[in-house]
Amino acid sequence: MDWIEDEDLREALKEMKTYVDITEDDLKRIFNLALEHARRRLSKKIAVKDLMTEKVITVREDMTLDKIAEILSENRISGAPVVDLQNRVIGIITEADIISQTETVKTGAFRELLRHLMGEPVPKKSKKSLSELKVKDVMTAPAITASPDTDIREVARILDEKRIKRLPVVDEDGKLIGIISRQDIVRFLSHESS
Amino acid sequence: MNLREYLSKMKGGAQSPPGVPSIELFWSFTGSFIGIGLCAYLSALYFEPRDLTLIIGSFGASAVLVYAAIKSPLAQPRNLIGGHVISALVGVTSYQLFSEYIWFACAIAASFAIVAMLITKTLHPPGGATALIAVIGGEKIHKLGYLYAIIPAGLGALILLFVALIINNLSNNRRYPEYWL
Repeated sequence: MDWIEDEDLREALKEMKTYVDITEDDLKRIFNLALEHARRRLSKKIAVKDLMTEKVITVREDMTLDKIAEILSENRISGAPVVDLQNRVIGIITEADIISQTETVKTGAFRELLRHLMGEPVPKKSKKSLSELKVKDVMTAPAITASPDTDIREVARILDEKRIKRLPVVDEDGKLIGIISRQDIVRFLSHESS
Repeated sequence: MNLREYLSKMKGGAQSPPGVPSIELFWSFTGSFIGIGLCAYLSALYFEPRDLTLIIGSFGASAVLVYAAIKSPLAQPRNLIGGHVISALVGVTSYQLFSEYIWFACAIAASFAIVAMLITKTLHPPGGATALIAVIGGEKIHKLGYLYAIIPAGLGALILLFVALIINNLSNNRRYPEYWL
């Protein structure tokens, strides 16, 4: 804490404008300890760009769902980012979005309400067939994305909180540069622990 | 640690905290005047005629915290209520177990109250006094038994808390509490 002087802490305490139950010395020690923890945390930071898959299978919003089902199945993936002509991510489509359109799956209002309350994406339903439906009809938009410098712990938190499996990684212009999935994170953690 | 190092610890060395703006004097005075005043008024009006009381010495110390050092963890609702009630229970138990050895009951009440507050994360310095008062507060307090933990300790602390919520938050510069639990 070379750049913080005692008088800075004293001024900060004064600016609280109320009695603060701490001595300057303790405040300084707490500040130093917190700074040390922050340094240690940042030194352990693993950026998304170090783990992400750069080769991403993408789809367009005007593709039909039967085509998407084929792409997902052939590539053994469960979802894909939807991009525009400039490769900017405009949404995401998953196998759950497609399955929800088939008649064999019963989706009750209560179940959808639960999914909504739990923060899961609620699939849009339609009576059209898969060959009639387009990606833009059922995709989740806008998609939650990560930047290449995001810490993977932050990504893990988002994946867990939103109950999703992957995040497209975009650059400053919103253009797709990779994808980070639960699998990528688990693979990294297993390597790290072994 | 040699003797020199040991003694040098007693010199201190840190600076005392800065003073507070005069508006703080106003809010601290107003809060404690109303809080303590309300407890004492209700006590005289309703509780004293029924051989009860709503005011004990330790509330003066609580007033310092909840109206003048409101950011302190020691002044938060969990500590204010929990500290008084838990310490009162400890104090009454100490008296009932060791009433023949008052000096010992005093020591055990205060020290156990501190430990109990630390364990339950309810450390509130006036709680030590609440525990001690259960032992040395005289016949009237002793007759209350465990009711002492509810009236005056719990209810009085609740009134102090209620006034702290109303008064402290009237100030632009104050926010109370920092947290509840």
